[in-house]
Amino acid sequence: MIRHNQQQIGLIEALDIALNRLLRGADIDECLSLYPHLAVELEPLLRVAGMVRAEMTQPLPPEMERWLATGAQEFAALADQMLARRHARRNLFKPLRKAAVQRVLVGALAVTVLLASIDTASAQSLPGNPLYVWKVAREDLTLSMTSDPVQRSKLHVTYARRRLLEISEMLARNTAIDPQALKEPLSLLSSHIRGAVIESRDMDVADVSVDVAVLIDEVQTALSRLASKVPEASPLLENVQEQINPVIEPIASPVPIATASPVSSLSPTTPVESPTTVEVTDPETAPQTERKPERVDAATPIATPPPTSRPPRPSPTPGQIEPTASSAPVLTATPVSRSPTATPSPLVTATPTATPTALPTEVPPTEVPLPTSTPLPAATLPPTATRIPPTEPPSASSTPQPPPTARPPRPTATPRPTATPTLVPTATLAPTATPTLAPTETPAPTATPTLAPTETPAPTATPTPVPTITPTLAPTLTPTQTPILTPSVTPTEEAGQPTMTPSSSESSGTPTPTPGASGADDAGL
Amino acid sequence: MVADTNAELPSLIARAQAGDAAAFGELYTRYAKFILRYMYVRTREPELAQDLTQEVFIRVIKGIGGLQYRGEKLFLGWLYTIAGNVLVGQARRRQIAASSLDDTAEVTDPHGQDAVASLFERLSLQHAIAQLTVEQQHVLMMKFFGDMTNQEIAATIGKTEGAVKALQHRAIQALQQILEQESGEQLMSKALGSADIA
Repeated sequence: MIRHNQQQIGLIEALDIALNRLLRGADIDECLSLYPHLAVELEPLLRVAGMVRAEMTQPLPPEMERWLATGAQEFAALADQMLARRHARRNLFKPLRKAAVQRVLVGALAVTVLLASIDTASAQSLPGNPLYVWKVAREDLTLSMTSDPVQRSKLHVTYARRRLLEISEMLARNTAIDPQALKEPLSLLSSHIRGAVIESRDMDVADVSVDVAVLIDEVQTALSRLASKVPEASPLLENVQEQINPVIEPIASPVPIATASPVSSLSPTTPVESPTTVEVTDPETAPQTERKPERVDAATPIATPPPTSRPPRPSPTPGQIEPTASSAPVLTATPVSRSPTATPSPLVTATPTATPTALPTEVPPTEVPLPTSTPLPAATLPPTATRIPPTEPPSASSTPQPPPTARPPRPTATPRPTATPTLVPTATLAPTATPTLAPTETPAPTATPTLAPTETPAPTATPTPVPTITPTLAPTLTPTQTPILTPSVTPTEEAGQPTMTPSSSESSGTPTPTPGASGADDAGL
Repeated sequence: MVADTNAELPSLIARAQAGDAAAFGELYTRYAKFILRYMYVRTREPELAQDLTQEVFIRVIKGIGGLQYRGEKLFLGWLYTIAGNVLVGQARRRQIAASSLDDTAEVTDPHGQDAVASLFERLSLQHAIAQLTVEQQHVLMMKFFGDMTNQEIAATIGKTEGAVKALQHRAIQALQQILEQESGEQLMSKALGSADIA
């Protein structure tokens, strides 16, 4: 097998060499003489190769030689056609490509310009205008593309203000407005307000929360204006209020407080009720009714008072206490804003008259005292004390005559405080606060003597009462005093009240006492 | 046959590749006679050879864009390869060889018996070559017609020199077997014919 292969390879090589010689002009015998041992195999192959060589060397017939010139012309014509087609194709596609690119660029530019102009035009559009849809859609898109809560809140504020502007623009343009035309902007307005409040709720960014608060005030103002100009739209406005109230209450709570006082002050008939407006201090529940009027008057004060008033709140947890606690802070807050603008003083005067019954509980503390009383207590009494006790003493001092009338209530109150004395023991544990309060209260005793006689002999009976009285006021204020008073009080007071005291005593913290007093007042009321 | 000393050929091919019609005309003038003779040798039909020659150069226009110039011999080998493919296509379409062989069987040569014998030999050879594989045909054509070396043939068809040698050996061997078979049949038919006459 190997030998056969070697022989085959030898034959292939021999044939190749012999072929090359044959093609160079050698004859077959010469070639075979080179490989005598392969002559048998090579001879037929070389003869066939000779035939092929002879065939391939055949010259072209003369007529075919002549045809070559004709053939060249024909080919030139064919080539021209083919190349022309090819060029045509290229030239066809080149301009197409160029034109396509140009068209795309021009189209993109046109679309950009169109969108920009639509955007600009839509900015001025009002509800009912076809471009208004674009405007709102663009705002929605921007909002959906913004993930930062601060930015989202700012956007909501911005968009809500746009809606307000649109509404005011509509009002300015057309006196007779179809309420339905207000439906969309009002709906968007409420959603943006809700969005702004919700987004800013969990943030500690001051400017955002202030922005939101200001916005809410603006909205309230605008809505009230709208309600006056387009009464038919009141259902829509109510709807908006319903939608935004749940979210803005926490923010708007300060507002009602500030406004509550003016409202009450404006209506002299409601001195007794104004204290009830103290309820407003619980903004969560009933801000709606009072809000509208409030906003009109006092928007700015809202901001400052709430913070100051809030802190104290937390301590007086007991439910009953809340009202007084709230009223107390209100006092400090309102005076600042109110004293100059509103007529607090009238209130003061009013309260005393009504107070006999009500005073103890609310009126005096909330509004009256500060303007007049501030001078006196402020100097002597520390701020903390001023809140609770001062409410009454100042009133007394400011209006000497009323105090007597007012005093009676205190005695009435005292009994309850007496109950607190029983609690005192518990309070004794926290004497720290007492020192501060005790002195503040001491002035009150001076007044009490006069009052005590009027109403309840019990107080009078208590020479000690002097201190005891203070407890009534102070007890509520600070159990600290009670320690001193307790002994004296307990004897005087009924045994049944102890039940009450425990509750107040639980709040044992120095501040809690005030609630106790207030709670007594409430009970009296 | 063709000297590889033509320095103008690369630029001529480049111009043709750029779409210059004049360059194609120049290429045709230079190499059409080789292709025409090749086609005539293979077909023995002047008109068909002319048509096939035009077809070869049309394919040159279409395919010259992908040609990489590596010398005139290789360019000529590229032309022969195109020509061989055109012939194969033509053979498939018309079965030239078979029909021509059948036709020639009835040919009466006015120049005498020797001439008739050489004609039969020639037609038999064409018929035998047509029965080779495409690669074998390419190798034989380049070797015997194009006067190309094994190295040039190998470069043109993308094979090794050893492969080219083996291919030419098998091609010639196949031709010999085909011709032997055909000559044997003819002898047989002649013998049968003379027997009938007798």
